[in-house]
Amino acid sequence: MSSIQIQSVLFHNEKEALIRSLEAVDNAVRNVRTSGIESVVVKYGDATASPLFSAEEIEKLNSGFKHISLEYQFFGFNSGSARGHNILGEGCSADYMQIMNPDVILAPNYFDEIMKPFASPKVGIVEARQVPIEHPKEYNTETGETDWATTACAVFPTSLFRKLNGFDADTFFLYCDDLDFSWRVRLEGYIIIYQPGAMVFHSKHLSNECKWLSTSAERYYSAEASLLMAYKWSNNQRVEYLLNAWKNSSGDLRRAYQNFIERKENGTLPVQLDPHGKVANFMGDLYTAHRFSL
Amino acid sequence: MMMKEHAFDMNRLEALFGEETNVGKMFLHLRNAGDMHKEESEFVRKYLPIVKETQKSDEKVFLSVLTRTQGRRPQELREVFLCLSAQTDMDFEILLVGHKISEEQERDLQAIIDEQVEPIRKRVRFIKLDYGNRTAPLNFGFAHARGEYVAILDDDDVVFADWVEEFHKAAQKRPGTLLHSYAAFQHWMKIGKGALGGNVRASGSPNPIYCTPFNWPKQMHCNNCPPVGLAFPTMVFQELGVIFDETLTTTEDWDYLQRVVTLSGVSDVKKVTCIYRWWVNTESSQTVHSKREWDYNYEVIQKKMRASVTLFPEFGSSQLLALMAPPAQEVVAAFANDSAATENIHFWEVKRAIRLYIKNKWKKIRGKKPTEIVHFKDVKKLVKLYMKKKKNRR
Repeated sequence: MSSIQIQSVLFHNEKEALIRSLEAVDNAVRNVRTSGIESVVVKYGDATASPLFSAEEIEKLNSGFKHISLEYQFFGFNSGSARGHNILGEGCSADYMQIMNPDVILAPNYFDEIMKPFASPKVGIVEARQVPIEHPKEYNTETGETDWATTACAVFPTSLFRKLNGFDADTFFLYCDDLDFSWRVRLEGYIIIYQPGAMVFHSKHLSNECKWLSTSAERYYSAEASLLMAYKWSNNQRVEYLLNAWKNSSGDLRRAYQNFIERKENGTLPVQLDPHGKVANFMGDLYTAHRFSL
Repeated sequence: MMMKEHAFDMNRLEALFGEETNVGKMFLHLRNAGDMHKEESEFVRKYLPIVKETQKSDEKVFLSVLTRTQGRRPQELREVFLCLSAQTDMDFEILLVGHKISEEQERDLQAIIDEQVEPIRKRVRFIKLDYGNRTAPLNFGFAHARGEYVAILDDDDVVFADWVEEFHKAAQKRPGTLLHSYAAFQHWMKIGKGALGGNVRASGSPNPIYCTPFNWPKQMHCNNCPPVGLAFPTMVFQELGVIFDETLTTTEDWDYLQRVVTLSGVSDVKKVTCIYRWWVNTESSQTVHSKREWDYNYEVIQKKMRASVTLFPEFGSSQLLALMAPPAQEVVAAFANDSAATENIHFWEVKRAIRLYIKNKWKKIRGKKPTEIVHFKDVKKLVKLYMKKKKNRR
């Protein structure tokens, strides 16, 4: 029998969507057959300026769930995802941790599917399949092995989280914290498994040209993170390339360039890892082969 | 009082206009559109008793989601339920039609229903059907529908969280019309071996080929509307007796869509709300039926369309005119090189050239190829000619 702590960082989320997500978790625990998951705690860390829930509301919600318990922590500042999850993960006593976007909805048989690969001690992270738009990242169709895991919904042993000191919150605010964590897991000798049978609904939309619809904030934090990833994982050639390309640009890319230069001047860039490229894999703007573009 | 005096006497009109007139043909078309009044018709025999029973229910919803299953795709069915559990508008019921399923498959399907969250469990009506080809479950499901609309969500397609909501909004704007939303087309495959055998995976980029407004002339030639992107007004089936043609083994959805659209008109939902999956390595209607069968069914549907008068949806005529209009370049050349032709220039020609020019610019900004090249100098020339014509008239 094992326990799991599910954690989500909230930021201006709709209560209705959160409640629906919690009901799905409760239902998925009801349906546990083979995974041995017995105890599930959902921990919310609220990074919104004012609290989304009152203590009474959390108590009322808890009384409605039969199989899970909900804990709520108001951060009082915009933590970003990496720092938020580190705060929530402090003192975690469960066997496993699950990082999950707050609006994600688990399929009823989710736990039995997501826990299967942990039968092997080599497995560090297991990632769920997102519905309705699947992530295009490549994986081995016989074993499920993949280069990195997105934390829209992924599970790993708490011991591994502790060993790695959690996510690198000093470097990554919103994006690439999961990619960096995945590569550090692999540096420790573990493998990462993508489990298509473990389905979760993660609401996404496409433009009428069937392309991603990204916001300005997403574009900025994504650009910022890609520069920092290249630096941290010792790809100095890519760092130079991006800095040169963005030096004379405007908008989000220019901001990302400036942020990097400031960090360099302040000496706050991360310690470089994997100098021989044992794990790190840069394929243009991607970090592994993709089966298709979005 | 005034209304009563001027009310149409349909029987009188029908008697006045002969069968060879367009009005007469339209009466005949409406009479023959459905099988409601034909005692020996399939609708009256097989489905009217179910409809009558269904209509006794007080439980009305906006949408009946009709899912056909043969019980052979448990993971995909779970995916369908997962998508439905995420809907932002829960005003729907789920009609799960188990078609020719064994007792074991029935137990498995029931187990999948039982494992769902309560809001889904209580919305599912699991009904079985033991006869007919793949078209029969559609008629069976439509007869059982308690919704104002019916949407076909087979057990291998997926929908976004706003699928029901967008249909609902469109229905509120134009009640009773057929609802058409954009469906992204995507290649998917089944994993064959190893620990992941039996799972499914996307193998191509979402493609926007079906993300265009409903185009009546194109739609007559071939189907551009995957069923997952459509919601049919239930009354056309239940009140008029317009049913799916059970003699068709393929493209039954296209045939039905064409017949419904002439009666209900269409409302476009200009948003991608679902994914139409194209299976590249597994059994689907593409692999189960021969090319000969597809060709035969195509011919049958074409014959049906040719044999009856057709009420175009309101934008159908302009789409047809656009097809026949000469390319913008030719129009520009004809007028620009012949000053005597000034008198013949029409406002719509100028408008079309301006619209095309702006459209092309926008396409260029987004890195797309323009469909027709229209230069600014030519548009300017056309505008000048039109202004000259107006001035001369004054």
